[in-house]
Amino acid sequence: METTTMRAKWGMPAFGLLVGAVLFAASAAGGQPGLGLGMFAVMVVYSGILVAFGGRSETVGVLRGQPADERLAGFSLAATAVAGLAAIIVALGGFLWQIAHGQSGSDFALVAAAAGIAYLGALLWFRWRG
Amino acid sequence: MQNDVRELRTVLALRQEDLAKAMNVSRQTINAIETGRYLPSLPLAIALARFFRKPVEELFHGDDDDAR
Repeated sequence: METTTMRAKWGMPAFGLLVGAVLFAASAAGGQPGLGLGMFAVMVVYSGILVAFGGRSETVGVLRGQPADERLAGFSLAATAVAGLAAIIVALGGFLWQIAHGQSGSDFALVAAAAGIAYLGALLWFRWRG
Repeated sequence: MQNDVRELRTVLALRQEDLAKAMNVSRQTINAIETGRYLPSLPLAIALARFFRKPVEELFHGDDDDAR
């Protein structure tokens, strides 16, 4: 019980710091430590917000990975769908922009293809299951 | 869809927090149900109906009940 509470309270903030450290390491390896430091700082602030407001705000609690009831879980699912849709729109827009400017657009095409395949796969999976 | 959750809760002199704890949901979720902003899942609707010892269709009823 105590372990579960500790994980819910500190799991996501710790993960945020880990992501920040990985971003910094990748940027430093690419010769841009300043950029990496900036991204690490963003993740430190994000993790700090999760710790400071996780117990008071429902929304921050969801971001922190605390157990959510069915209403909040539904909101989280809908928000994930909106985020996925936004990513697909950006990927398609970026692809069109690049090919319109004589570039291959392969980077955006890869993201758009991954999103499309994931959507189709998920649809088939849920259809088969339900 | 309307419901009588608030009326039944106040009859029992329960706070939203008390009902939320009994239903294992947040106080905000109970408030959202009472104000009609959130329609609960079937399991939660049944749990609420059992808590108040009412049939589900009596606890949750359509807006057009009076018109029929």
